[in-house]
Amino acid sequence: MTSYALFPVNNLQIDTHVLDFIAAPDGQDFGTLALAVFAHQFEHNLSYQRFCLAGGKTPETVRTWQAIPAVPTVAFKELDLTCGPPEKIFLTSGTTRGQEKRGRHLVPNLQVYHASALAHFSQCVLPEKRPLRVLSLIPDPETQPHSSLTQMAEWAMRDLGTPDSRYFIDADGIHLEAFAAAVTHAQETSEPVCVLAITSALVAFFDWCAASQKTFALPSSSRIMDTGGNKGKGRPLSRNGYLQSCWKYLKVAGYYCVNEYGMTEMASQFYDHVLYNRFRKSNEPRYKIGPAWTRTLVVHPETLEEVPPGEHGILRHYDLANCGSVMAIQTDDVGYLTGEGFEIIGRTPGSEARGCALVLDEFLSAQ
Amino acid sequence: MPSPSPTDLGARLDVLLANRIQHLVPRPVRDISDRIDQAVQRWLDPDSPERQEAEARLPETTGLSAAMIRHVLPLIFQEYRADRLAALLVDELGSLEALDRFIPSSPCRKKAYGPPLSVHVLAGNVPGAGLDSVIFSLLVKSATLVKASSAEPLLPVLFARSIQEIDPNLGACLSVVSWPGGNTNLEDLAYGRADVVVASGSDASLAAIQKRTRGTFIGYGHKVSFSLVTKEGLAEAEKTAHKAAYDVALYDQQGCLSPQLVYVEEGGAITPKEFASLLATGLAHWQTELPRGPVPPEVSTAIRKVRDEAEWQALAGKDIALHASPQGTAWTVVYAADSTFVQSPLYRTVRVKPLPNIAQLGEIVDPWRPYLEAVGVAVGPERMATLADTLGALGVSRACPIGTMQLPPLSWRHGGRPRISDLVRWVGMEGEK
Repeated sequence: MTSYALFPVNNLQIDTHVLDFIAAPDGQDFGTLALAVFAHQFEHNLSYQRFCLAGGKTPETVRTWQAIPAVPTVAFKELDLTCGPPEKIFLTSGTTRGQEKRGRHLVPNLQVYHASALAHFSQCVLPEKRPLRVLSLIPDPETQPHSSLTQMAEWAMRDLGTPDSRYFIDADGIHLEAFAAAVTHAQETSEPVCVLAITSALVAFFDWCAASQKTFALPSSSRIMDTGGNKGKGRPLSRNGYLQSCWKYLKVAGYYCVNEYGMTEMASQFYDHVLYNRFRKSNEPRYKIGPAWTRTLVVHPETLEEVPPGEHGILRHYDLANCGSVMAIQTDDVGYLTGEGFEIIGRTPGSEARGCALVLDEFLSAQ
Repeated sequence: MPSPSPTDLGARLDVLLANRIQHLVPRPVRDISDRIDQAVQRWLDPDSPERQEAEARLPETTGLSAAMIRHVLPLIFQEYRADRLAALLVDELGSLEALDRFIPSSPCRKKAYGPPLSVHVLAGNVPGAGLDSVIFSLLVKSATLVKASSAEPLLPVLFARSIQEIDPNLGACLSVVSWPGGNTNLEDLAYGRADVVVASGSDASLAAIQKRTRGTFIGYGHKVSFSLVTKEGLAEAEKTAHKAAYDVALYDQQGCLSPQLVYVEEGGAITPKEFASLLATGLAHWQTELPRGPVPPEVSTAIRKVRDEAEWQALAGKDIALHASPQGTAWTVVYAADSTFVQSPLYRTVRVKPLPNIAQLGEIVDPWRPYLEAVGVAVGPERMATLADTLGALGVSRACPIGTMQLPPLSWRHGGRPRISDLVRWVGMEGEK
């Protein structure tokens, strides 16, 4: 086992260790590198250091990766949490009302982000390692220059897709007919495609299909990665309803439908492992898995203590690929541990009051 | 409680209306209020079977702690006494007998008639909310159907049982049912037949009920309340903070009368920031006396978010102070130096903000104007009248001393409307010698 404590920690070296881990995770020790990344962040990310010191945590007192202080996502709205000058700044999406401040994730080294995002995407969405034409219902970089999701789609298209990959959402909006034409083209040429989509955009396509009484049949091995769920936009659709629509309108079976769960504040993402499982011939039920350089804990929202697998709580992620900012992220997402991963139940649910006091959601919806 | 079938519900309404003609219309109001008083006395007796049963079972249906239920049950019922009911009738109708006979008036005599059938839709789990309307409905001799919330039907059922036991004839004019909201068959039937529907709930559920109502609709929407500590109130800051904490703690801040935020006037004996610390001490005290009930994960998460935001704003150098219960999310006080009115995730989460000048209050709470309910104030008696006038002009329906926000007198015009006279219609008699 490598002892990272032997190395002086500077940005370049910690990045190299993480990149090595991502390139060849087998035999690597997550905990050891996690503590080294923590020590590095404690030293170079001074806002994070102040937060750790307020809680009495230092690299001397933190002995396990589980004890590394986790930063709530709301912190990214208040302070720049970075270990060095950013190469790129990603912004969280503003709410529809634009009342909330947007969070900022400052990324000093995009190379680590790129390596992490593509390695796990490839494993979960393109496990056969064969380039596919990417049809993106994720907005293009011109429309969303600060979106980490768009950045990921851009990398996936450029590095893992075929040259004729393209976006169907741009500054003019969503181009459903062009998307349908691309789907028809795939159908005619029998060339499988990889659809990357914001869930609500795909639901808009299903609605368009229903309204124009159209159904399509993508060639076998075509796949769909969707992200974002249905929060706030369009009509609500259950996961089962969504999967049924993927089959009904595109003839893509459930095991080729991979839901992604990621956040602006994290360089690594989580995916349903259905396609990955099919590739390695396992038929475990669907849940989310992270790459080898991440860990997820579920903590009780009252006590913040870890809860056993199966029990509901809030998700806390540890991501070595976040070595340039903050590795430990406390989300507001409710979920539970299962198998080798976790399942997510809801993202940032509003607080539902039991009584007759007005709650915020009601006030906003009345405005 | 199982939902009735539409046939059952229709039959039940027929019976209520027939019983009203027989047992309620000919009965003097004073007799009705005496019987209600007797039922209420049982609820004020800690040893009565209804109190025992409510204390045993309400913690589960309401989510409030057992200590809180024991504490609030007498508070819920203490106002419904015969003398206060009589005073309210005189206040609103001009006479205790206005519903019994034509009373003298100028130039001719008049009599008040209650609606033949009224339906009361109780919402939420703040125990006792809406019980006042049910009692007023019986007082105006109306056949009374209560649609209890499906989550907490217990208290209305037990109260109806008390009336039934004291006076079976009166009890035969009151019926409690429940069904999950959205059952349009039952709702069209009940709201369509009612002469008056009194409902409390969110704006959305009120709109849905109103759409199905054929008669008069009286809605009590969800509301926002806050506390206001003036310079005078800071003279005895510790006492004031203790009372303000009580207002926050009661019903775990779930009531429309629960303060969501405390404004503290600047320039007093202590700063608003220091007051926040005293308020935290107060909440810690009430947590031992009246512990908060358990909360669902999304509530804990929402409270954590408020705390995290405060902590990180403080780290970012903003003038923010966070006081929080050491374990769990039992209580949270956040001091912030700006004066913006921000809502709370409730369950004993409260912000303290400075108010440079009372005159600025109007501008600050303006976006909330349609939702304002009560303001608990700590002020000297000299300034109370001026302050109440200022608050009244802003749209609040109640200004009361801090520490009494959850204890409105029976005479309070909930939502700014009369309680009894809104239910009746008047008939004038002319041409009499």
